[in-house]
Amino acid sequence: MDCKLANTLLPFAETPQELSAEDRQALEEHLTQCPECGAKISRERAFHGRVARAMLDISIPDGLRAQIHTSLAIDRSRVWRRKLIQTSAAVAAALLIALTAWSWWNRPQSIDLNVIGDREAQQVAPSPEHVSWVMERHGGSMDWPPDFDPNLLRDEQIVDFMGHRVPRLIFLRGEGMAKVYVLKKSQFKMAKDADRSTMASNGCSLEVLETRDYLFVIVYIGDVGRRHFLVQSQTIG
Amino acid sequence: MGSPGGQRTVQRLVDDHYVALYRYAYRLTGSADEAGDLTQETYCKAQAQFGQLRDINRAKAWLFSILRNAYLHKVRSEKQHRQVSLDSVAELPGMPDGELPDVEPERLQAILQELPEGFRTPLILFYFDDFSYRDIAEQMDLPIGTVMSRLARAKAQLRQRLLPENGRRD
Repeated sequence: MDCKLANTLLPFAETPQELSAEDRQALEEHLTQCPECGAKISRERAFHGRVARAMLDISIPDGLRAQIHTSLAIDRSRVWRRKLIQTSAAVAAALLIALTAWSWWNRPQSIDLNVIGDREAQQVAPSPEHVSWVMERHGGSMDWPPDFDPNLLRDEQIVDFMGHRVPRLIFLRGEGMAKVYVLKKSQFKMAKDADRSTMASNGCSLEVLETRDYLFVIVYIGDVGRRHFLVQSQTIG
Repeated sequence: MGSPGGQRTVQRLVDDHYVALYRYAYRLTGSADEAGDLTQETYCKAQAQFGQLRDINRAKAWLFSILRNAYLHKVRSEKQHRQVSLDSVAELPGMPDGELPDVEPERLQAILQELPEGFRTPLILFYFDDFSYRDIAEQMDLPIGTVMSRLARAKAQLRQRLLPENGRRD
């Protein structure tokens, strides 16, 4: 390496790690062999060292480290507070929307007797097929009370019965009415020696009929019994 | 940042690097108060952006980068100090003969404040031993050649102002 090339690489003499190993070695060899370049780099390095010492000669304020840790803690709590406020606002907004929707859904509805009257006038007696469909829709798939005349069916409902939701059929003929509660045997049972018919204190008579899967609790209203509602060809003799 | 592990790591970054960061901030601003504020601001930003640090071994360079960006953001909204142009400064002027004087830190700071930030930053980082030319280039998002050129001219300016010439000093 000659002086010209060495002068070009002199800036790296202070940071030899920037040079390749080969260039670093060649430069060092030249500096040790060339008094002029050697003296030059000595002065460069001496100046570099003094500047470096001065550059780093700064007093660190007392308590700076603690101040930084305190700032970070304050910042963290600020971030958590902001997230809490944002989350609370989102929850409040969601609750407000839900409440508004619920209120709207459960608002009192206006009734119009004419509309209700038209609806009742259009009601037709439900067919057994329709009744089965309705019951299945309510999860109350059911059997049909034995021998009852389907033409006498006037209404079907799902009602509460001893803690369960069960179908109730209404049969009408003349002055007589029969309310038939359709109970699954998986939910209800009767003791073997229990009475299957009785009279209530208000004068209604009650009866229980049974099929393989169902119990039919029938409440007769008016001075009538089961035969009043049977298909005529099957009237009990 | 929210996890306990992240929190502990940030605290360790404070303990490991706050001295170097403060010194860097001081050399950039020339003011102890501003340096303290800048250092605290840097760590708060680091805490908020902790998820962006991919390699913990690059944490120091990452922190220095945050600090410099915070400093630049600050000075852009403030009036510029008088700065000298380095257009007339030649690279690599010869080292004068004679005894080399000690370099007073206050004198050094005054000269640094006269330099444009684009020359001041590489000069400061150069004298923080851990920063290579490549590190400085990454910090400033400049080619290495540009960094070396600016560094050479900044060092030449420093030399002209600090060293006696014909028995006189500026």
